[in-house]
Amino acid sequence: MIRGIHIAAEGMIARQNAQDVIANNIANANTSGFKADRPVFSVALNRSVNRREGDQTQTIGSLAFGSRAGSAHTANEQGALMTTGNPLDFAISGPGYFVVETPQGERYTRNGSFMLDAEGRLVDKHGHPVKGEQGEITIPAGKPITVAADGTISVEGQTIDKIQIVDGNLRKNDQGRFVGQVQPVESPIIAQGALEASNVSVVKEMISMIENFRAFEASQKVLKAHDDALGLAVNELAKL
Amino acid sequence: MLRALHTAATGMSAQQMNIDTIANNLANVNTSGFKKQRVDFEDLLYQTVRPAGASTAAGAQSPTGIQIGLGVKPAATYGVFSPGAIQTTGNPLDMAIEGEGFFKILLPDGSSGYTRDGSFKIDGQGRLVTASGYAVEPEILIPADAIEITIGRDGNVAARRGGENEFQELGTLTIARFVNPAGLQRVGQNLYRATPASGEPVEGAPGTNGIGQVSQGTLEFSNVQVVEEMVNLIMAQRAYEVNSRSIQTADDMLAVAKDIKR
Repeated sequence: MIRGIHIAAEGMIARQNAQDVIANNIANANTSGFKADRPVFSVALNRSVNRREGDQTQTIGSLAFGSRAGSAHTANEQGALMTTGNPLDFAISGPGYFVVETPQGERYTRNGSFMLDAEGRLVDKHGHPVKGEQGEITIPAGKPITVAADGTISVEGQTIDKIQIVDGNLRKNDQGRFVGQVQPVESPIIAQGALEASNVSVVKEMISMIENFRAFEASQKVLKAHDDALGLAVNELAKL
Repeated sequence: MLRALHTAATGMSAQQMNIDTIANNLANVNTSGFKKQRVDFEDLLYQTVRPAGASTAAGAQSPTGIQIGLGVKPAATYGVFSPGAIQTTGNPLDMAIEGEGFFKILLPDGSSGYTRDGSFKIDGQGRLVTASGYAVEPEILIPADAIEITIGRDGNVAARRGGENEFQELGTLTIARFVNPAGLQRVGQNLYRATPASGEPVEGAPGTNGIGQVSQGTLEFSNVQVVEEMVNLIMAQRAYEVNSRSIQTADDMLAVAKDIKR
């Protein structure tokens, strides 16, 4: 039928996907260590438009075939540091992720809300051990721990281990964790007794929600206009 | 339908739970020995619409994919065991633990409970009991004619009877501490129970092995700070509100989609 109907529909679907991404950001506005996703729109398909003169075909330009949510890139901006006073809460200022050993392998997270398990190991909320440079971190019972800005953990002046901080090209897994290829961060900055708040800015999300909604509406108008034109073609032209 | 509707709904229910927890903290702002609770959230599964690294039409690899998250869920509620302020009451049977640890209490079913609320009383049989009437373990019997009771920082309980000059030792309080107090189960009446997550209780005399000391005539306040809770309450309320906006918008989008066909 009319190309425009498909193009407008593509646009609407892309905007629906974008709304899903925004809704997830908003739902995680209070999730420690969460990083917002931003939908990126791209042209669905570029078709070249040709002109034919005799035997010669000449390209005169291209025609875009609608837009789609081409990717959602994760915004790595720093979230605010909230002081909790809990000595087992950690926040990373600047680049880097904590390393957590899960049954599926290493996972990386910015949510430093840790605790000790029954064996005295430093673990995340799911009981997966947090890795230090020498493996699992075990804290002697009943001793207060201090963590230096570079991640060195000491108990009563004695160094136990250093929290492993890595960075890399990561993608989101569930439960606040990331996966991907990593390499160690040279000089991380860790704050003890603090958590990194979600970097979702509610104002920004509200604005992109409105913007997205209006774009969705506009695509719908385009679709309807095409439909009206088609209606004219079908019904009015036929009235002979 | 739109995923956003469900995603926003998970956000609203998570914030409801957050508000429930804050409300309980505020309700216990004057409960001695109470430790505030926090909710920790985490994102749910992601739907991968297109994986990162997929080849594009131009033959290149796309650096990012499309992953659409499906919302949020509460990961854990955990107790924050920071010390509360110490309040002097002058009542000889009020005790606070300065440092880590819990008083051990014998529950009616024979198991042990743990508490930081040291507002003890004497029951009809002369036993040292909690405000709810559960006996302190090991049992400490206070003679009916005791006119003065002293509790040392090491947990030693002694009493002087009427007409006597000497103090008589009545027993020693045992204090238990846990590797992971955040893993204790709350059972109400200011009591906690040990769980596999909290680890086995390490019992000992006050002042040994990182166990706190006993301070007589004082009570530990709740560690709830009203200002902090109010700020959290406002944040939770706004987060709830903005999630409802996101449902509204998703609904409006569906209405627009519906209007395509008249």
